[in-house]
Amino acid sequence: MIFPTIEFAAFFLVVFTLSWLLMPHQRVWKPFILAASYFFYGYADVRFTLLLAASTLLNQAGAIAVHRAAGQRLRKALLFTTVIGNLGLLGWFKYYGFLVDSVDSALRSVGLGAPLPFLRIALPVGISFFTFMAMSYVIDVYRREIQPTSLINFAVYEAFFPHLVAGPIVRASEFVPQLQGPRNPRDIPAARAFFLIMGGLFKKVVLAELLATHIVDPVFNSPDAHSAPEILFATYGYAVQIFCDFSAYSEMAIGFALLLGFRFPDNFNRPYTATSLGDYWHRWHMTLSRWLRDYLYIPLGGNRRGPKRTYVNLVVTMLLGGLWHGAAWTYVIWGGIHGTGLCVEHWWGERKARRRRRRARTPYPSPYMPPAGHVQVLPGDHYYPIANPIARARPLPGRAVPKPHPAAAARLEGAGFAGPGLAGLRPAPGAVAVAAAPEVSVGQDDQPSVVGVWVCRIVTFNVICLAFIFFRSPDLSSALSALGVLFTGWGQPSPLITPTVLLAIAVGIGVQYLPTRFWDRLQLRFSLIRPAVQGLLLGLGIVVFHTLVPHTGIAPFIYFRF
Amino acid sequence: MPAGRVLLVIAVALATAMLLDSRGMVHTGEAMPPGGARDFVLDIAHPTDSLAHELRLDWPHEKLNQLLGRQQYTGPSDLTRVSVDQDNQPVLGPQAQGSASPSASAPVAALRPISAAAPLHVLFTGDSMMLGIGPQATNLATGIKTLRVDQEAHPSTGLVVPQFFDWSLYAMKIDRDNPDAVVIIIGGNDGQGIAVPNGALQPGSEEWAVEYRRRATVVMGILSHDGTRPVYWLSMPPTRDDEVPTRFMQVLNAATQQAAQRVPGVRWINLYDAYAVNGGFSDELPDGHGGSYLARTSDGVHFTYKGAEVAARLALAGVDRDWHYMPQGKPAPAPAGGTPPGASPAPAPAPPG
Repeated sequence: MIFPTIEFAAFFLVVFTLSWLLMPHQRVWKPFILAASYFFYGYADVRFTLLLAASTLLNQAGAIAVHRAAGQRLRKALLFTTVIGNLGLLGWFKYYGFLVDSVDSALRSVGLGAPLPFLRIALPVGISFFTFMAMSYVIDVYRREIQPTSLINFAVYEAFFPHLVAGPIVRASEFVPQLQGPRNPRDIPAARAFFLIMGGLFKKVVLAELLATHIVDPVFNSPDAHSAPEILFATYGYAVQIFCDFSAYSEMAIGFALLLGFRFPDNFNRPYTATSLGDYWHRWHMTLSRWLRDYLYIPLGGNRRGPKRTYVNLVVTMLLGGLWHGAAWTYVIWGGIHGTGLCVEHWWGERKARRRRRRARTPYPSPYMPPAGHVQVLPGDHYYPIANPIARARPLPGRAVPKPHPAAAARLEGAGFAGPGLAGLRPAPGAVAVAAAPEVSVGQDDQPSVVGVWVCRIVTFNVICLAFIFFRSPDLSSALSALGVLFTGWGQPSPLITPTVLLAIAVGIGVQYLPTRFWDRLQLRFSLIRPAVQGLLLGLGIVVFHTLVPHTGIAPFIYFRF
Repeated sequence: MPAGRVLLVIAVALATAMLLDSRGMVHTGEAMPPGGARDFVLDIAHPTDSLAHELRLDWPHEKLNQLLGRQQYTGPSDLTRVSVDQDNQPVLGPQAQGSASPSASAPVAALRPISAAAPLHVLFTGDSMMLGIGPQATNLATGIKTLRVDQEAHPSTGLVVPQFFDWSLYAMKIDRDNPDAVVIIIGGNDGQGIAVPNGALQPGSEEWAVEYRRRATVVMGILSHDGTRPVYWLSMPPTRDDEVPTRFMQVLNAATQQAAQRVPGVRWINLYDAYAVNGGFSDELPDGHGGSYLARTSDGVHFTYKGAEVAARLALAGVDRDWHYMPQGKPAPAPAGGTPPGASPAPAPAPPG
């Protein structure tokens, strides 16, 4: 079942009503919401619910065993077993075909025509998301950051339908406390929820669908048949399409959860305003970023073991992040471009820091390379340090410490949570650091000019788009064809670049530059309108969105396949 | 806001959307797969649509469409004009019966000469099966100056539910656009009953096949423009049995093949044999070098990108037989891995002119 459909509208109307009626009776509400979530998940293929149930039982058993185990060695072994079980499930469903194909190709290239058995394995929707959530639960129990919760709580946490198939990747420590007592039926942040849902609907049904059908799909399905400008604008179009598609799902998920009384962390924060790749990863798919940081990058050593190891960890993290999206070399290259880009940014930042130190003639430890053995969790830190003076520079001794730059302030917004009412939750480590150490500032000399900021933004956006060529292409040869045309196919006609396409790209990027206060004011005004009029306006919005881009059906969200 | 008020907002929003876009709701319902959910949606959508039309609540939606300059494919449709006799058998009109004898080898009218300055314009269209074939054909046509390929797929469509997407009306639009030739594949979504005034014709039944043949004949007749425009109708390939039974697919293909024999200018291209392995469905096809490759997607119906190449090559080879768009001495794109049995266009077209 996908969100912008008649089936889901009917489903949600029923679930919303019953959920609030049953909310005071928690013993009934939890089985109800669990059953509703399993219905949601099994609507397309009921067999997949067995997989979800198996994952729940495996991880709950693992978490309890880890919690009860006496010795550290046994705890580690149990954790290892549970993680392997999760990765085994993920690997079997998601990567078996890729593995067989790659091994088969390799064998053929050396003249060994012995193909491995090929099995047709259907990929269960959302397996990457709920597997990652379940793993984080067990690892957090192992780290003694949380206690195992009851089976019903964990089952609801893993299967809760708003986040089940495409995130946000919510942590048990954020969600389970919200299950402890009934939610308040008189205090639903409805205006925010409706804005998120309608904004998501607009992005998905209008912008993403329009760009997909008008330029992205035709060009990337046959790049050789198109001109360089078409490849270029199809790539920009895809950047907007995937943002609109994925952030739309996340926002709708957050909105539906809010209507049911639950709060999720934000997943996107205006990613195409990023001034560096590091900044971008603070804004794009933030819940995956922090997952990779906390459960992959930092365990690998983070930036504690010197520059070379930091570079290796960055690249490894991004390559695995690429593979998380799918079993294909195109995703590996996408991850490689991001990993390499981050290393270059890191190196550049180091270089600038060294120069600054020399100029100041003051021995000052690098902000990028903390002493070995020290886990650097800087303000808003992610799973890699940011080599971006706007967001990362530390004050130099003797320099004035101005207020945080707006870009840094924006990062604070997107560090893991947004919106009111989350104070009772345990924020992500990065967010803790943001709150606890307000030291993000830049020396006066390091303040980038407006032109500098825009140059950074444009360069960053184009590097992201370059990586997207691999991400979107159906295979490696198509991606290389697209790149080939991009460099050679100028001067050919470009009928697919229409004013509508250009407008959609401009709107998709432009809305990210609208100040937050604009949306806040709009939301406030909306909340003051009478409920019946609110409903009328929302209904009109649905009609207009649906009419703007005619459909023969809503395409599934891109991230469903991940 | 209290939950009760939130419920009110949601209910008003959904009711407003239903009333103001009731056609959209019917449209969406028609596109849903057969089953209880679809019946439920349509049971609500049809009365709502009637009510909205009576109250002229569909006016804003229509005006908005006009404002956007969107052309509606409306008008009398030959697909929906099904009349039945007292035994609930569809009564076929003269067009559906076609010519008295099959016109398998009836040539199209004289074809215009093609050149780099006036290249052959071929439209690849159809349901979601065309999503793979169209791009592959476009790729294969790249660099051939005498050939221009356009592609337009309409996923979730077919001949069985014209209320959702009427291929006869869309064929009229294609006819007005006037491409030189049309390659078309339809059928992937047609494994469902055909609604007739007294009920529904069971998919795969004899009556169903007769009505399906009639509908295919109507669309072919419009596309071929009285035999002056070659139409290359691609049959459905074998599908995985639990998705669409093999026997049904054979009934559907027989219906379109018979229709093609009755309409001058239509060439029926057999994809069934081209994609069959040991007479049935297979995920993989031989690659011609002793190995195999994945040709079908996990749903057991659609082609992978690579797998669509066979259909695209077969279609272009059929087009080349009529038009000779390939420069002399260069063969038309041949199916990968050699020509599979039964892959040649059937019936064989006569030379043009």
